[in-house]
Amino acid sequence: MFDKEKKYWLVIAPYVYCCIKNKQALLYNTKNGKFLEIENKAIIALLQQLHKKQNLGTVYCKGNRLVKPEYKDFLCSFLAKEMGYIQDIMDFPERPIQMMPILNIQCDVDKLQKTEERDVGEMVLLYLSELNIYLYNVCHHHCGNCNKIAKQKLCCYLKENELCQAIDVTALKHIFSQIKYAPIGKLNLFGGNIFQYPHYEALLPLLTQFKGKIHIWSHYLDFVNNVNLNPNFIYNIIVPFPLEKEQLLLSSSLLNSLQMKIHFYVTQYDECTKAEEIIDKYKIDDFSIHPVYIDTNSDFFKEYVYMSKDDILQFNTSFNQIFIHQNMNSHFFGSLTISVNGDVSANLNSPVLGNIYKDALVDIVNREMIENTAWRKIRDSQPCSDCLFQYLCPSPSNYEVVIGKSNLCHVK
Amino acid sequence: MDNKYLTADDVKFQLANLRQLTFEVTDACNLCCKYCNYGELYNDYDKRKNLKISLPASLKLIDYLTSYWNSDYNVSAKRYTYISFYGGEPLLNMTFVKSIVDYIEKLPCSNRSFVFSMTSNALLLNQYMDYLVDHGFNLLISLDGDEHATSYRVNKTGKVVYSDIIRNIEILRKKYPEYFEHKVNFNAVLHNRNSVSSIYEFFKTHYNKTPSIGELNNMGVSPDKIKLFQDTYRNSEESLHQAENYEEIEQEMFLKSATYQTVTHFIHQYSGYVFRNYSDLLYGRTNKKIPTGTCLPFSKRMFVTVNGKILPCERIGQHFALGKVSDDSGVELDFEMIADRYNAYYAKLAPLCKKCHKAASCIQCLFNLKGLEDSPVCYGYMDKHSFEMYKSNQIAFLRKHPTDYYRIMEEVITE
Repeated sequence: MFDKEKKYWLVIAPYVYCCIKNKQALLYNTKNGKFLEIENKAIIALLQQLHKKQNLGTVYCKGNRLVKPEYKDFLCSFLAKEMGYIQDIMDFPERPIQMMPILNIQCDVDKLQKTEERDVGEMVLLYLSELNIYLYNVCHHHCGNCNKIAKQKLCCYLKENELCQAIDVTALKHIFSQIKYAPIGKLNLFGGNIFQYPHYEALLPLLTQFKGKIHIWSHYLDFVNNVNLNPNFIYNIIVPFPLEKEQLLLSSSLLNSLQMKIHFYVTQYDECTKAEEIIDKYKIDDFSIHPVYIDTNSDFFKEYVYMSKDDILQFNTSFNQIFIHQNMNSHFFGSLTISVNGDVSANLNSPVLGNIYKDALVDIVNREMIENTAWRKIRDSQPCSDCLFQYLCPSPSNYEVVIGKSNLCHVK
Repeated sequence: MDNKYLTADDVKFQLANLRQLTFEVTDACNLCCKYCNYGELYNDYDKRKNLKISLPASLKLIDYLTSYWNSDYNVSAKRYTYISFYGGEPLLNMTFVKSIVDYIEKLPCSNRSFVFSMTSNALLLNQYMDYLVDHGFNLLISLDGDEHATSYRVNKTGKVVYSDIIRNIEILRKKYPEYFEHKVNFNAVLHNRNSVSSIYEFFKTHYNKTPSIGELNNMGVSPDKIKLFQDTYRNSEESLHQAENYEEIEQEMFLKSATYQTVTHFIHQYSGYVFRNYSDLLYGRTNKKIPTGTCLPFSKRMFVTVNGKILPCERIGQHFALGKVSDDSGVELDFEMIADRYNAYYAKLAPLCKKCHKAASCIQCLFNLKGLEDSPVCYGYMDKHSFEMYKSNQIAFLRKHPTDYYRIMEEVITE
């Protein structure tokens, strides 16, 4: 394979992610998902050489080094997994260089904070991509866990001991005027029972100004037989367990041509099975089954939600996704939630950033960019920070926050 | 119009998020530089009549812009906006400058922080430096280097004013050393009496500053002055490469050198790892759809001439004015008309851009194209071969200067 009398360029491809921690290294080909775990000191030193600034991904190697078994074995796998290439210097005397994967976000918060006469608040409203508004907090169902569900997945909810409240229409008008030029693609509207929101009729003309998709969230028992439905909206039907009246899922309003998605919230394996039965029985096309943590179902979570190394590696993670995992939270970034009392937070688990009755959305977004209550939360604490797969893993989610554990995996 | 690249709303959006408002305070100047954009070499500007810009009209413009900055078109929680004073020689109309500064400092616009800046020949600096320092002006002093290099900068009687400028700079430096260090920069014009290396050495030695070096403007040259222009003109890259220590100078000048500007642009465009902001990283970069590299109108600045013409930039011919402001009528900006005009230019250039291999990273301003109204000629156009050459030159540079790749990736903000 190598001639020990020859000299070579060893080149690592720029799309290969390299992570070196303690005495281990991971090479991950972001194009084909193939990876190599390395513990050999000499190979790790070689990888460090390849990543030195002055080398731009290329090192000069004598053939007599490469023929040594440790290098040879590594290079066989390295080449087989298309992580780079080797060139004979005689054939290619000019040193190859690679534009190495160094992320440069021009409006990076830290960079802007360090730059004179620049501010994090520049054009910041353009980051707002999703708005969740809780319009009304009255509901006559007794789902029990709705408070917990809403902190993990999108869902309507009631706060215990909260007075009956409805968002003021003037406040909504103000919100819609502020987001006229923001690129918000998704608006989620929730109750309580959203259809009983006292200003529902007044809300509808306001929604016609909105250019993105409008999602209405409703408990299935509130939704069925409702005549006040709009084909331009996307209806998200909330189905918590135990089901009170399963047959109502067959209701004509669920079978018409509305844009609709059914959401099942499950806490146990049995509920998963039941949800799947219902999906088959009623031939439901568009659905999601959301696991929900409720303090007593740790085992269910460990079995069905926690990730293993294979889970992490089963998807082909692109370099952009790795950069995202290193710098921002892909679950939370761009989303704000407005509670029924006007409080705005990046997430129902995060501290309040402001109130819609007194703060402008642009200032609230700016506060989130600076204070980082959710949008830029990454896996930077232990044990993830010691793990080679730290940034191949998805961004931390609400599950981690609610469970109070920084990783939900079996790797570390 | 079929090719609707730009809408009136896009233009309003840019206005509401404007970065720089530049006033041509006066067309009068106490110098008579031989190569001046408003001098004997050129013919694409309004005749200089020693005018002063109208204060009432300018205040109307500020009010007009403030209404946009405070509108729902604004998407910034806080943004620094430069209020710049340009001439002629702006220090000849300090009454205007002071009135504007006073007005801006009281402006009801909580989402803007204003920074004042001025380009001056420094001849009157001794009279006004206290005021400029008090209001934190970023001051760009025009000076071409040593006495010989500055010899095109003459007063109305033809006398070289180098020593007067230097004297004022020294007073400023001694009186306000910290201000001088942080807020004062130099701008030199390259011509046949200086060179990039001599300019660089002069400012480094005397003031420990790295100057900006500009070439003579090659647009709007009077046909009968082309020979004179060619004799005076020097190309900055050629000039730099004549220096023995050009690499050292270039490294020091970094983004003020054409080489680093080009390689930075190349890396930013083609590495695949540069994103304008977090949204671009999360959702993917949007491909450039608008032909040429022209800035969207008012996306970077607005320039108001002494006659009240409103332009998107001070670096383009004044016949490209997009609107006007006057004492009587206030601001006249027709956003539909502006969008239509740009769209017409874009449509005209689109077929050429479509064939150009550098279209994705084009920096060519359409207003600086020869023959724009009839048959535009683009000197930035690249066919496959020239684009490969361009790429190979940038790669060769990085091969020679590998750590600069990291310097560019880690330090440079161009957006």
